[in-house]
Amino acid sequence: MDPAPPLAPPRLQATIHIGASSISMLVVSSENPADTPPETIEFMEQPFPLARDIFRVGKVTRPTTERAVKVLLGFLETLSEFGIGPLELERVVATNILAEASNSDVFQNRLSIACGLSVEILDDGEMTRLIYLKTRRRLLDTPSMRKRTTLVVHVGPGNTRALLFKKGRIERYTSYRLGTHRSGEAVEATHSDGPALLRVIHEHISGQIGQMCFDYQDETIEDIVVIGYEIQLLNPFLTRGGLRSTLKNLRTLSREAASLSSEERVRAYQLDFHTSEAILPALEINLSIADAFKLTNIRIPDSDYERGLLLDLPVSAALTTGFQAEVVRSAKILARQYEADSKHFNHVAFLAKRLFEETQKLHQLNEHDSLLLEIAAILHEIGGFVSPRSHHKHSQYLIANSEIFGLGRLDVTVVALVARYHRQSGPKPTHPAYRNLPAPDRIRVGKLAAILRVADALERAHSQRVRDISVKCLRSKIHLTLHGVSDAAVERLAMQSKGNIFHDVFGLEVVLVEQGS
Amino acid sequence: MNFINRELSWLEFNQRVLEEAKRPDKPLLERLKFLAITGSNLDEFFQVRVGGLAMMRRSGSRVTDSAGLTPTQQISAIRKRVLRLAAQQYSLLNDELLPGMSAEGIRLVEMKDLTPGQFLQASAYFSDFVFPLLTPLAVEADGPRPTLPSLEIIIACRLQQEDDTTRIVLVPLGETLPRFVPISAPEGDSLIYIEDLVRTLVGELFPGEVVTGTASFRITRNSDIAVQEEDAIDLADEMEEVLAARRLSDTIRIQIPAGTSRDLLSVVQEITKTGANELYRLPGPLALADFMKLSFLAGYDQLRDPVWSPQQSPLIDPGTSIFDTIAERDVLLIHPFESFEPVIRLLEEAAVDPKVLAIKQVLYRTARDSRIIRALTRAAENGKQVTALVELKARFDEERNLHRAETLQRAGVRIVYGVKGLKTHAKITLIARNEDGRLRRYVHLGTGNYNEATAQLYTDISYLTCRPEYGADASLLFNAVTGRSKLIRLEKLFPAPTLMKRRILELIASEADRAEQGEKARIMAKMNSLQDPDIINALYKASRAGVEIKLNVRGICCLKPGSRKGARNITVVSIIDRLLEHARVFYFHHGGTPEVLIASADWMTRNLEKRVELLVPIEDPASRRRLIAYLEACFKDNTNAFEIQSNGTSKRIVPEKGAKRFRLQEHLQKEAAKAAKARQHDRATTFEPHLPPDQDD
Repeated sequence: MDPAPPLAPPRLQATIHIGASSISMLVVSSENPADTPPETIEFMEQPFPLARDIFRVGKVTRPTTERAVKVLLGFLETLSEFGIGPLELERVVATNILAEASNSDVFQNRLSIACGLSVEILDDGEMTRLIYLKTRRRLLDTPSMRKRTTLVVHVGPGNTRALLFKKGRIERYTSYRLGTHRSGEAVEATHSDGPALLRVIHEHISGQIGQMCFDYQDETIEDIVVIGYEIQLLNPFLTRGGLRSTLKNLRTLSREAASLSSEERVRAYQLDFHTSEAILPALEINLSIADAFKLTNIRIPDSDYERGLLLDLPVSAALTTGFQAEVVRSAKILARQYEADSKHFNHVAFLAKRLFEETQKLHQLNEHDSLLLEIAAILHEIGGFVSPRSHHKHSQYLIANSEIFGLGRLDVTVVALVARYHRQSGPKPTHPAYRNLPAPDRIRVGKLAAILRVADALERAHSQRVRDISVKCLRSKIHLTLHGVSDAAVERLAMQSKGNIFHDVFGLEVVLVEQGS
Repeated sequence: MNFINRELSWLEFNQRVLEEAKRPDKPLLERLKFLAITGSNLDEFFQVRVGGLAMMRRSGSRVTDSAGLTPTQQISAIRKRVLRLAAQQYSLLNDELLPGMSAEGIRLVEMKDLTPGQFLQASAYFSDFVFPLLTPLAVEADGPRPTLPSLEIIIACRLQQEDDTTRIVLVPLGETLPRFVPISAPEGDSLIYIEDLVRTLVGELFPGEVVTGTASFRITRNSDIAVQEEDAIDLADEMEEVLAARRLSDTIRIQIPAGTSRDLLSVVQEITKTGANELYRLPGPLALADFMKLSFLAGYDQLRDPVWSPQQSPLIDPGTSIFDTIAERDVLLIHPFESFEPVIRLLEEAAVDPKVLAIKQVLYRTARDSRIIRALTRAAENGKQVTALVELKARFDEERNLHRAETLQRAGVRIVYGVKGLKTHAKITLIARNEDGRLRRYVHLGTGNYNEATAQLYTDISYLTCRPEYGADASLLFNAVTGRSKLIRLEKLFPAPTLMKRRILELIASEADRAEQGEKARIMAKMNSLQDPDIINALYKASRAGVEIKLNVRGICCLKPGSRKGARNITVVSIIDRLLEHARVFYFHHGGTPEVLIASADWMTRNLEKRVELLVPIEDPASRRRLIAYLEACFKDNTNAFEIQSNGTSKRIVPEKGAKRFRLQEHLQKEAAKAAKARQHDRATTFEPHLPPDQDD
């Protein structure tokens, strides 16, 4: 008899999150049909004092690193019971406060050596994507939120992010160096407790809360949704089974928690010790925000923050169309803030996208790069707000220092560089921001800048006269047929100075052909 | 005081067991068995409970229990009650059981009554089998005191030496020698007590000396030594130390037959450092627990109850994979009326099933030659991921469990030695199976141990299911007890020490609320022991609110039932029968949509706060109906049930005039046999052809 064929492992999807005060893993069945929530197979969580280390000593200490190794090996053992190896994990991510540790590379290296795991740090862009995913679900099941001006605030361990939603769409995005653990550790040294501790926390956070008030002073906030590990854990004590907590409840719980010793807090709220250190700042930050916007109650999702995050990780890596539209909107709001010519940047963005699509075989870039190109096109001229002279350089630093909703640091750097290279010099190793990029990203910048320059040359007249383009690649030339243009002299002139990088990067000389010629 | 003292309540339970031994309508050897059980029960009680109290007393503790008694008061009350119990035990043995057995041909004879031929036979047995196993311990006047084994019969000998000086030697009889030595007789069976044999012939051990006096005695040591486990790096190492420490711990009871010479007695008391309070003079043979073996003497079936064989549950088809059976519907088994075999089969099938990925199980007490352990070993050898949590702290089973854990580990099973600070008592098995790319988890949840031997003697419940929420909860629990994850809120199950007590209190309070609002409210609960003061107070409150509360408690019951205002609506019934009542089943009326639950834990503080236990809601309607009927039957018994009185004593329930006799265990046995028979009949009349695989579905 032939031996039975080996069984294929069960179809499961596993994600791991190394958080500020815990490490967690979620395994779900990937079998379920698209419209049903995935069945949870395993959810594991272990306390882990990452935030304490980073905000106290600026690095991940050795015992903490080894604790991570031990916890992760335990998780991997569970996975091996399902026949899943470390390389088959969907994603292993760490909170972005890890980037603040002076030895974050060493920590990641150690996990790679001991557990065979490659850990990505969740960047700001992805965090906003995750918050967006959470909020979108809330928008779907809470119709009133779609009508009202709602501020969604995520109070993380190190940073707080605020997203302003109007009519169900993102209107503004800001972030602050204000976090549950960051604040908790900052006030730790005062050795205060009880009401005195609450006062110290309050004073510590007031600057950042003031900044948030300033950023949204022109808006009437009608509703606040707060998201966060600690506040969602405390939800049962605040909302009593509902979705809203009054400020009174928040204040009472905060005072009650402040009056307890850490041991009592652990028992009373069923927390681990590391998390219990962060709940007072979490309560105070949320309270202060709601107070600042003069609201009497706040919404807190009743779901588990950690599980939700792990569930969203596989989805958030891939950008959805709806999300891309939100990122583009956010970039346009920024461009308008700097009084850029919207007809022009919209048209450059359109032409750049068309060129990107038509030359896909040449550049081999992906959908995410297409988005970055579009954002760079929208923002390429915002430097003109500072001065028309060397405005490409002003564009670069304005972009590099702005929050663009949905984009991580690397993405923002790429966008800033692509915008910079829309005129004058192309990428050079003497440009520090460019030089500091890894080689694959430098190549990306080169390709995207080449396309943007051509698109910008085609919109030289700022009159949107090139309605569309058709592209034909020959051996050493690329023919761009310009729809709606009978005489392309202006564009041809512009192309002389801007087509050079395209020629260098793709080895094709840009030849403009008037439609009908 | 609103509570009955826990120890005295336990002694009342032992009294109820003794009442069964007193029943003239019972077969003689069954009565002997019950008597032996009262003996072994008392041994354990002294080791653990009295031992613990003695330690508290010695530390000067004057902490009172919920009934308001200090350790010293409790010890003295216990002594009084035990003396009364002992008087009844021995008058039963001497006046009824031994004469009755003798009349049936089972004679316990003394050495002095043997014929010369029989004496020669006994001497030969002594020289060949006993002598080589004896190790005398000399007692030196100024030397260190010898360490005496607990719960073994020891012979103290006074020896006169050639120079006329005397010395004392102690001869422990060890655990391997049989208590009763058969001697050939013209008819029936004649047996002699081993201690009588040794006392008579002990002189052979001491050539040149003259035995001038002998006495047999037995000591009991304290075994309730807390493991300081938080400080221990390796729990397994430490348990070995505890075992060693137990051999050296305090003597808390010394038993001697009445009539022992005073000087030998004082020597023994001197060696064991005991006084009059620890001394129990017995009007008959030591170690009544040993009579258990005699009750199994070959032949004499007319002196025993007819055998009840475990029946095949009608839900189980021996020809169908147990996984397929569970996938079709939840399976509820009431053991031992229904066989434990499906549970063992689940593990045995899992061990060889290529679809099975992982097996996880908590092992608390396992049988000696355990098929379950063999199945786990085979599974590990077949490459399955097998995790066993072996609870080293299972009292009296530590040594076996430690040894077992090592064997399993060698086979590749991942072993966890329990949870630090808590005893893991939950009865749970989880099997993960890859079914065509879909992961399905099968769970067994029970009220009894994974022990094939006790599963034939204890009444317990097994619940087998593959409902995803139960599987997910089981995974979370195993992740927590194996230290891979913190304990995360479960969906269906309520684990102790975190949520179980809270849930029980909630359910009781909810019945009380309903009663206050004029709704029907009712609680039925079956357990081994009821002691937790919070739960008892909640029950009093519910009773005052008008909730009808029926409790079936086999052993300790600290709740005071009866006519007092607070407990007017509470009835407590205890059943003592040939099988040990062990299931924990709870019913709450819950406004007409009953909550029915099974649990691994009793309503005792120890279980609810210091152990990992599980409270399992039963959702399958058929299983719930069965459990409700089972609970209702528990309160119908009028042959083997006692009603607990408000002073803690028990009163036998007798059939009311004209009422039918109802015996719970017999009823369950008949029901199981009837169902099995009906199912067999079905199978005999409906033939299922074996089809080639493509037509099989």
